[in-house]
Amino acid sequence: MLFGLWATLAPAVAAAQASDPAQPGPSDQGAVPSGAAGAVRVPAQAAPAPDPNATVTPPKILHFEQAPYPLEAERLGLEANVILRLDIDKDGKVTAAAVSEPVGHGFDEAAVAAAKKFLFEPAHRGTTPIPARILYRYGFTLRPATAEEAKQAPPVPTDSLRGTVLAADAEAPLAGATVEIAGEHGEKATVSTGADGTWHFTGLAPGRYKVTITASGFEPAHSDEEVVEKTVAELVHRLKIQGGAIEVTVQGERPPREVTRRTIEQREIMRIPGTNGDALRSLQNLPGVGRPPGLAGLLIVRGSAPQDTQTFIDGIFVPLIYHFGGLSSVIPTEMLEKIDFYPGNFSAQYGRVMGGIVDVGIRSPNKDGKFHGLAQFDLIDGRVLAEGPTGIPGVSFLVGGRRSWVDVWLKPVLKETGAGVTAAPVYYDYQVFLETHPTRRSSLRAGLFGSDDSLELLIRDPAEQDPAFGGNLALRTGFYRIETRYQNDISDALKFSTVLSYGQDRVDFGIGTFFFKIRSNGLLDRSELSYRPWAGVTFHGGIDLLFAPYDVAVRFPQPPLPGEPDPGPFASRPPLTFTDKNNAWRPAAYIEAEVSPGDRAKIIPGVRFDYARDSEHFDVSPRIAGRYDVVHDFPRTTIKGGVGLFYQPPQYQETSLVFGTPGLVSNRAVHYSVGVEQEITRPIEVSVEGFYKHLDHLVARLPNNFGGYDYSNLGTGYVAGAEVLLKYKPDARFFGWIAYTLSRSTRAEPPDYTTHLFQYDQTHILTLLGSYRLGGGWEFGARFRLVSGALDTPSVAGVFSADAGTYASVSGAPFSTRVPMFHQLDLRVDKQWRYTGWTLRTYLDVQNVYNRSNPEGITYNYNYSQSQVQGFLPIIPSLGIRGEF
Amino acid sequence: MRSLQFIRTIAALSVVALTSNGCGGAGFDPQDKIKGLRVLALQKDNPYPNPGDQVNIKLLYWDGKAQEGSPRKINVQALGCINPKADLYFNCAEQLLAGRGFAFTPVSNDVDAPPEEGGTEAGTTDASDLGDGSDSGDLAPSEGGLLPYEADHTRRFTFKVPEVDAAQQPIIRPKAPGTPPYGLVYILFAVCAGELKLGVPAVPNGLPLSCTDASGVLGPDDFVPGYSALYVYGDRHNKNPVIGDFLLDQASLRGSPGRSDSDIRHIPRCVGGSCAKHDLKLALDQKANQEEDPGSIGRDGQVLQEQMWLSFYTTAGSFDHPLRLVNDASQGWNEDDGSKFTAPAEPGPVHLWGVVHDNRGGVAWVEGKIIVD
Repeated sequence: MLFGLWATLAPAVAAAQASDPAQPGPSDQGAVPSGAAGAVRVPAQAAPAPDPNATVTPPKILHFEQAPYPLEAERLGLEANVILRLDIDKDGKVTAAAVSEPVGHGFDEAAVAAAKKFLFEPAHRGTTPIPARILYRYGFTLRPATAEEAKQAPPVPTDSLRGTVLAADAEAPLAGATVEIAGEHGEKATVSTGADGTWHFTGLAPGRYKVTITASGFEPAHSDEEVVEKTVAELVHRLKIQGGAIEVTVQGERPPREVTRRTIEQREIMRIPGTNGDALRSLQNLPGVGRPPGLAGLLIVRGSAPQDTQTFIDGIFVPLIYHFGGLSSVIPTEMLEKIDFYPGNFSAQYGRVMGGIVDVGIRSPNKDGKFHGLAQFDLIDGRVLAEGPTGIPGVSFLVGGRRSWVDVWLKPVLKETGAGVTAAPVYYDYQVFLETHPTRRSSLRAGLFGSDDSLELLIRDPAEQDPAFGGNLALRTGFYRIETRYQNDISDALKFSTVLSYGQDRVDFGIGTFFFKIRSNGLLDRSELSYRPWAGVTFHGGIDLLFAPYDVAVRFPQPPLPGEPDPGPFASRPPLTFTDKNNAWRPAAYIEAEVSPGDRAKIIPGVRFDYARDSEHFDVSPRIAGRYDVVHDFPRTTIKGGVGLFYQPPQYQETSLVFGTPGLVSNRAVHYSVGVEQEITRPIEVSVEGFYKHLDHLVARLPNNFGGYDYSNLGTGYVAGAEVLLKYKPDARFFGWIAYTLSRSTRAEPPDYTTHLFQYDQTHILTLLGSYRLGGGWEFGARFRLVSGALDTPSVAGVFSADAGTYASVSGAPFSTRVPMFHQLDLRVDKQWRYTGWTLRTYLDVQNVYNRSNPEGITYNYNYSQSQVQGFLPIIPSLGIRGEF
Repeated sequence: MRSLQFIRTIAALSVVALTSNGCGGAGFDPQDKIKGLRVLALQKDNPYPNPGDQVNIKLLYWDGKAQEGSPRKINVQALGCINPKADLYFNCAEQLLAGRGFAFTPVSNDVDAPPEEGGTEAGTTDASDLGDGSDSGDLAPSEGGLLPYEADHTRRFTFKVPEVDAAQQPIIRPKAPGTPPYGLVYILFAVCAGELKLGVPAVPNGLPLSCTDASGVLGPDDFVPGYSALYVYGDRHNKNPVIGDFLLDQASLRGSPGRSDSDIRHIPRCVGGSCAKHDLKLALDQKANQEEDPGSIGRDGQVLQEQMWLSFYTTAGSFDHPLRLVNDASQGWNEDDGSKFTAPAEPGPVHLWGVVHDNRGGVAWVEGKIIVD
C-alpha cells in the first residue's frame, strides 16, 4: 500500500490576502482554511521594507517530503487530511509547523515531521523574498493497487460513477477528499480524490446511490445518483468552506433534452451588476434576450413578444413574475436553485407558447440539521428567509417573505405632487415549502407561494395626452399557488414525477370610468413518467393540464394593437363592456424519447398534443432535437440542432365575442436552430447558435362596419438571428460572459401584408459582464450593454380630438424609425464580513454609472409638431444590507 | 443626514419615473399656452341626439398669431361621415373619397344673415337655441346666441341627424356585443389661416389635406385639423356642463372680454423672482353638473358618474395645473380643481379660457380677459 498526498495552492487567494497584511476583522481569523491551500499571512515585523504596493506571490513547494503512513491508521484503513500551519522564511525553509486541526491516529505527528523537511520557493512581494505563513493540507490516502498488482487483476471494468471535487472558493481541484457511496441494496464503497480532484467507482450494480463527499475544513456535500448500465454519470461537486455563507452546490448535468438550455447559477444571479441581485432580471443578460424598456421586467426572447414566453416556478406556470411590472421578482433569489432558460426549440414537455421558456427551480431546504436564515433590506423592500428541520424526522422547511416599503416614503412624495393617495403602492410575496424523502428514491414537497401588488391614487391632474387617464387609479394584482410535488424513481428504468397545484390569479385595475377585473382559480398538473426499456433509450410521457374557472369584467374601449394607427384619446371613445364567467380548459399530453446511439450522440424526438377549449382547437406539435459530441473528452466539441412546431393559443380576449372573434386557431411557429458548443479551458466555453423562426397563423384584425374588428389568423412573420456566448463559469474568483445576438424580427398583417419590423426587434444586443472577488470579503462587478435602439412608430401630424381637448397622433409607417443606440455601464460592489455563526453583507449597485440619458422612444409636444428623443433612467444607486446565518 | 438626503434623491427619481407621461418634454411649448392658431373646443348643444334631432355645433378657436384688433382671415370647414369602419375617425376618408360624406351647414354669426350655401339637406339654419356654453350672467348674448367678442373666434354649424347612413342603413346599427346599439357621426373640421386644399400627403400616412397661402404649405400654427364624435343612441341623453363663473383671486372675469381695458382686472407682470401666483378657478355647481351615467357600471357594481375635467388656456403667462379633474366616476366631486396663474413678464392683454369636458361628449367653456401691467 502506498499513501497519496496532495497539496494545492490557490495563488490568487494568497496573493490577495497577503497584499493586505493589516486586514482586520473577522475575515482575519485565519484558523479556518480558505480554499484548497489556505491563506497566506505575511508577518508585518518580517517585512524587509519592500514596495507595499507590489504584488505578493505566495510560496511554491520545491521539495515534498513523503510521510510514512501511520501503522495504526493503515491497519484500521483510515485516511485523513491534516491541516498544517507552516511558517516559511525568506529562504523558503519551514521554520515552524503546527497542526491546525488534529485528526489523531498518528497522522498529525507524521505530517508535522514531513512538513518540516519541505523546501519552498519563498513568497515574494514584487521581486523581494519575504517570509510567509500558510495553511497546508497534508493528505493521507490508502493507495490503490500497484501496477504489478494491476497486471494480475482482471480487466478493469468501465467506470460507473466518476467525478471531480472542487473547492468552491477557489474552483481548484480538492485532492484527498473522501467520496463515499451507499447503494440502495446496502453496497458501500469509499475512495479518495486524486491530486486533480477526480475520483471514480467501477463495476457498480445499476441502481440508486447516495454520494457523500467530505473533506476536512469543508462542508460535506451529498447527492443522489443513479448508476445506469453502460452509462457513466459525470459529477462535479463543489465544497464550500465550513462556516461560509449559504451557497448552492451545483451538481453535474446530464445533457439537456433541448437544443439549448442556458443555466444561471445562484452565485451569478446574486452578483450581476445592474440587477440588484434580482433573479429573473439576470435573464436579460443572456444571448437571445432583448433589452426591455426602462425598468420593465419583460422577457423579449428571440424577437418574440413578452407574452410569447412562459415562466414556471417549481414547474408551475405563474402569470406574474415581477412586482409592478419590473420592480423585483416575485420569488426571492435566495430560494432559487437555478434558472433554466430555453430560448427556443424546447422540449415537448413545454407548450402553449411560441417564444421561450423560463423554468425557475426552487432549492431544497438545507438538510444539515441546523437552522439558517437571512434578512435583507434595501430602499425598496425588506425580506427574510429561514430554513431548517421541522422537528418531524426527515422533514425540513424553507420559508420566506418580502414586503416593500415604498409606501412609507412615496406616499408623502405623491401627496406633495397633488395626488390623493388612498393606498400607496405596496407589494409583498411569501413562500412556504416543506420537503421530505419518504424513501431513498422519492421526494415530496408541499408549498405555498404567492404575490400581491396594490395601489390606489386619486389623480387630480389628468394626463395631458389623454384626460381619460385621470381620477381614481386602482390596481391590485396577485396570485398564489398551493403545490404538491412528488418524484419517485420507482426502479432503475422507471421514474415518475408530478406537480399538482391549485391557485388563484387576479387582476383588478381601474382608472376613471374604465376597468379590467379578472379572477381565475386554476388547477394545474404536470406529470411525467419516464421509462428506459434498454440502455440508451428513454421514453418520457406526460400530461400538462390547465383548468381554470374564471370571472371577468371589462369596461374599456378597444385598444389599438402595436403598430396600428392611433385611434385617438380614450377619453373621447365609449367603452365596450364585457362580463363572462366560464372555464378555461387547456389539456395537453406529450411523448418524447431520448435516444443515445452512443456516448457521443443524443436524439430527442417528441410530439405534443394540445387542446384549447376557448378556441375549440387541437394542435399537434412534432419536434426533434439532437446533439453530437464531435470531441467527447476535454476540450469537448458538440454540435446541436433542432426543428419543431410550436403553437400558442389566441389570447382569451381575442376569441371573446366582445373584444375578439370566436373561432380563431392557434398562432404557429416553426423553430429551426443549429449550433456548436466548444470548451476552451475548463472554466471557459463558447457557444454559437443560429436560429430561424417562421411564424404564421398569427392573430391579426381588420376593422369592420359594425364599429369593431374582425379577427383572423392571417398574420405572418419570421425571426432570424445568431447568438454567441463566451462564458467563464463561476469559480472562487470570477464569473462573467460576453453575449452577442444579431437578429431580425418581422411581421406582416392584412390588409396589405407589407413586411415591417416587429415592435421588439433589436438588431444588435451585446452584453459584457463580470464579477471578481478581490479578497477580504470584497467583490467587484461590472456590466456593459450595447443594444440597438428601440423601434418607434413616428407621428407625422396631430389631429385635434375636440371631445377630449387634446390631440391624436397621425401615425406614420409602423415601427419605421429607431431611436439611437442604447449603452449603459452598471457597477456593483459587495462587501462581506464573516462572524462566528453568521455573515453580514452590504452591496452598492449603481445602474447607468456615467448617467447617459438613454433613449427609450420619441416624445412629442401636445400637437405632434415637435419631437425629441426621450431619455429615461438617470444614474440609479441602490444600497442593500443583509445578514445571514 | 446624508443617508436621508440620499433617500430623498432616490424618492424624487422614482416619482419622476412613475409620474412621467412621456409628454411635455423639456423645451416643448405647453399645451395651455396659445401662440398660433388653435382650436380650443367644439360644443354640440345635444351631445347624445336622437335620429332626426337638430344639432347645433359651435367651434371655439383662437389665433395667437393675430394682432389684437386685426384678426387674420380664418377658413373653417366641417365635413361629416357616419359609422366609419371600427368607429375610427381616419376611416372616414373611405366615405369622403367615395363622395358619401356630407358638409355641415355653416351658421352665420350675424343673426340676420341667411344660411350660407353648401349645406346638406340635413342642415338647417335655426340656431336660435344655440347656447354659448356659459352662464354669462349679466352680459347677455346679443347676436344669434353669441357674445359680441366671440364673433371673431367662434364658428357655428348645424345639421339634422339623419335616420340612415350613406348605405341607407339605419344610423343606429344593430346591437353589437358589449355595447348598446348606437350610431356615430364624425364631425371632421379644419381651421386654416389660408386656403384648404385636398391633395396627396407630403409624408406617408399623412393627411390628404393641406392649408396653404402665398408662402406655401402652412404648419400647425396656422392649420388645425380635428374631429368630434357625435354618438346617437336613441335612448340616452346628455347635457353640456354648466359653468357658473370664472374667478381670478375670487373676482369674476365674467364678461371681461367685451369690456374696455380700463374696466377689467389688471395684475402686475412677473419681474425677476417676484411672480405672484393668482388663484384661478371655475365656479362649477356640483348639483348642476354631477350626472350619473346610467349605462356605466363600475368595477364594484356601482353606477358610475360622468368623468369631468377642465383645461385652462392662456395667451400669455402660465398655469401650475393646466388640466384638472372635476368629477371622478367613482370617487365623485373634486373640490380641488383650481389652478394658479402666473402673469407673463411682458405687459399687455391676456386672454384666459376654461374648458370643461365630460366623458360623454359634453363641453362648455368660459372666457376671460385681464391686463398685465
